[in-house]
Amino acid sequence: MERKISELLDGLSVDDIELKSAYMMSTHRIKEKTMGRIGAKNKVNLKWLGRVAAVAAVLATMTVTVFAADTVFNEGALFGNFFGMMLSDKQIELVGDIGRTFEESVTSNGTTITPIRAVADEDHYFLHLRVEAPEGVVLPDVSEEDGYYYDFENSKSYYYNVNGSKVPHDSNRRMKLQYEFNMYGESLHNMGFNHGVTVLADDDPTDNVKEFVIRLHSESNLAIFNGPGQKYLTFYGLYIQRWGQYDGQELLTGVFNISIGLNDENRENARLVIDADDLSYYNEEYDFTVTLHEITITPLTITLDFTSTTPNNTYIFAKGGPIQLVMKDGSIVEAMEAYYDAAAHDWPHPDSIVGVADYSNFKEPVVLEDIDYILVGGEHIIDVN
Amino acid sequence: MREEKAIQKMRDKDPDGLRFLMDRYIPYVSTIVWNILRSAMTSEDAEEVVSDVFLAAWNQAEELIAGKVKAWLGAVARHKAKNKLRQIGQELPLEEDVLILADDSLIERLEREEERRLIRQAVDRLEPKDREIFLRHYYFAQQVSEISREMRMPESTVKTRLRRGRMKLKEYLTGRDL
Repeated sequence: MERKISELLDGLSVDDIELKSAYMMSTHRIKEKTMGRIGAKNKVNLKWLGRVAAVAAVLATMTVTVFAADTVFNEGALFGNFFGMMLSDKQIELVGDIGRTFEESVTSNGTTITPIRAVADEDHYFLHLRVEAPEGVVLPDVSEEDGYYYDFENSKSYYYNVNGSKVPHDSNRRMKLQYEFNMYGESLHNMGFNHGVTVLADDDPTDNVKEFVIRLHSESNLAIFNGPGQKYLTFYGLYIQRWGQYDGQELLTGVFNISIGLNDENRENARLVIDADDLSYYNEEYDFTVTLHEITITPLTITLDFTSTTPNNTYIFAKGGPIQLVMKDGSIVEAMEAYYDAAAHDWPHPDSIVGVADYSNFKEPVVLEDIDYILVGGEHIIDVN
Repeated sequence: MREEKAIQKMRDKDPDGLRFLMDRYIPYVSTIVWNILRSAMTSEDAEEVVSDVFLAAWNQAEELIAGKVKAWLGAVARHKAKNKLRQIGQELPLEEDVLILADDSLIERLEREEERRLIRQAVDRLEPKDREIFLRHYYFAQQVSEISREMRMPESTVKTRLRRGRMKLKEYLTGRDL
C-alpha cells in the first residue's frame, strides 16, 4: 500500500515553525480582491492616492501635497510592489536616504509622464513613473504569453503606427541617458547603460494610465547614477511587441525629457566591502572553479571580485554567484540578475584563468546593517555583521 | 487590536477584523501558497488562492480560535494550494514523498481521526530538528535547498535528516515503534 507523506500530514495543524517570507505576490492586490469579495472596500486605495500624487506633481504649487501623500504610502507600494512586498520601516528610511521624489511631469503630444520616485546607488537606478496617454488610448495589460512593452525606445527596424501604417524607426530616437559634466562645463554626454522595464499591476487595463519601473544599470561603470552632475533621461514613445509578430505596435509618441539627477551625500557610507578570503567553489555543470576575493555591497548592488577557471562551454561566462543575503530577521534577499564587466572579458575565452567583476542588483533595497551573512553558491557562508 | 477582538469582529461581519488578519498573516499564507504553487501558476493566480484562504476565514469565523488562527490559516492555505495544483494535473515536487506500507499496517486499520492522532504522535516523536525539517519539507513544501539556507545546514544533512524522518514515520505507522 502506497501512502504519500504529504497527504498523511494533511490533517495536521502546525504553528510552531517560522517561515521566512518568500513570494512574488502583491499584498495590496490580495487585500483589495478579498475586501471586494466580501463587499467591503479596502481602506487605502493606492491607485487613487497615486493619482492624487500625480496631479500634485504636475502642479508645483501643490508640492506639499506630494509629500503629504508620501507619508500615507508605504514606499513598497509606491514602487508598485516592484520590490516584491511591502518594505520594512528601515527600508523605507533607506529609500528616503538614497532616493528622491519629483515635482514636475512632462507632457508631449497629449501624453503626460509623471516621475514619482527614484532610488539609486552608483550602479543602479530605479525610476517609478506613471504614463497617462490621451483619452481614448488604451494602455493594455500584456501578459508574458502575449508579448511585452518594450523599453520606451525604438529598437525595432519598423513598427506599426496608430494609423496601422508600417513606418521605419529613426535610430536617433532611442532612449538616451545623458550626463552633464558640470565641473568641466561640458555639454551633455551620453552615458553607457543597460535598462529594463517592468509594467506594474494595473487595476484597470482598459484605461489610458499605466505605471512602470525603469531599471537602469551602469555599463562597465561608465555611468554613476547616484553622484554629482545633472542627468537626463529622454525617451520618445511607448510600444508593444507581441509574440509572433515581427514588428512592434506604437501606442504613443512624443519627446519626454526627465531630469533624474540624484546625489545623496551619504552614499559613500552606504557600502560594505567584505574580504571573501579566496573562497573557492566548483560549478559541476560547466566544470569551472570560482575563487572569490572580495564582495562589495551597496543598498541596491552587489559586486563580486573573483577569478575563475575557464568553463567547458565557450558560450558560458563563469558566474560569481548565485548569491543570497540572509538578513538578521531570517528573510532572504536575492540578487536579480548578473552583469559582467565587459572590459575584463576576452572573447573567445582565453585558456588561462580570467579575472572578472560581476554586478547584480537586489530584488529589494538592502539595509546593510541588517545583513547576517552571505550565502554563496547555495552552500558557502560568509559572515558579514 | 488583539486576535480575540479581530475574530469577534469577523463573527459580527465587521471587515476590520479581516483587515487585521490580513495585515498580520498575508506574508505567512502567501509563503505557504507560493511554496506549493511556485512556477505552476502566475502570481495573480496565486494571489487568488491567498484571497480564497482569507475568504474562508471570513465565512468560517466561527471555527477560528484565538491563538490558533495561524495554524488554521496555514492548514487551509496548504489545502487550497494543493487542490489548485491537483486541478492542473501537477504534484508537489517533494523528496521521496511515498511510503510503502504493508496492507495490515497499523495505520491501515484505523479510522480517520485515529489516523490523524497517530500521525501527529509520529511526527512529534521525531527529534526536534528532524521534525522541523520534516514539516518544512512535507507540510510546508520547502525545497531542500531552501531548508538548508534557512536552517544553516548543508543540503546533504537536510536530506539525511529527511530520510531518517521517513524511516521513523514508517516504523511508527506500521506499529513497529510503539
